[in-house]
Amino acid sequence: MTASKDDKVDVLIVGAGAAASVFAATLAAAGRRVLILERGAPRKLGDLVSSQIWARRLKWGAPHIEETGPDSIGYCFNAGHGVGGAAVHHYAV
Amino acid sequence: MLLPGAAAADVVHFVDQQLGASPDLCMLMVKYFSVAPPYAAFYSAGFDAFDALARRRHGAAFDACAAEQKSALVGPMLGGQLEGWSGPPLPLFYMAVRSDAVDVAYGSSAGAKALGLPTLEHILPPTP
Repeated sequence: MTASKDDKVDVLIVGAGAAASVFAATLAAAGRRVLILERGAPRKLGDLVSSQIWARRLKWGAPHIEETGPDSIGYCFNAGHGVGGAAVHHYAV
Repeated sequence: MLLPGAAAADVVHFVDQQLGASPDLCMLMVKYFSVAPPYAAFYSAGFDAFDALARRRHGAAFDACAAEQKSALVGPMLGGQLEGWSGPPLPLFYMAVRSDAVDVAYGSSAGAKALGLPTLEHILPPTP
């Protein structure tokens, strides 16, 4: 389901990782109006290919994360992108 | 040389194709190791370093060396000690290059079967 900018919600969750998704589902089941914002790609079951090389698409096939500040670092590994977040890194490959 | 079967699996094509992709979509191991793009510079530095070593020791570029000479240059990579090495950190270069080869050659159902390993695929990759 997608929301329009005029929709009012009870809870706004940023990022559709594993914990956030469970949190959202629990709140929705309790009757709350929940909106999850996820900048990454949606995931279909067919995306979780049982292959070490194909799995790279989900693990680090996205823009790297660049932290800010005087000692910033950039990283790609397990940064979590798309629905499922970093938990997708450990899908059953 | 780092992995039997890698050449037959065309890992060179995979690396070349990924180097041509946008860094955002690149799936090379160097990205996983948080090496900053452009990733081609990482490979060039490593291969140039091998050429420099080969010329110093054998008077020829790496590709022109005999098989045993190449092995003598590549073999010490795993130990991280290669006298005269001027490329990226040696263990990092070894790990990046070999890991791509491993996943291309054996990171699939066919690759596992080639190793005699049982597989239980849930979802198969798309076919061309």
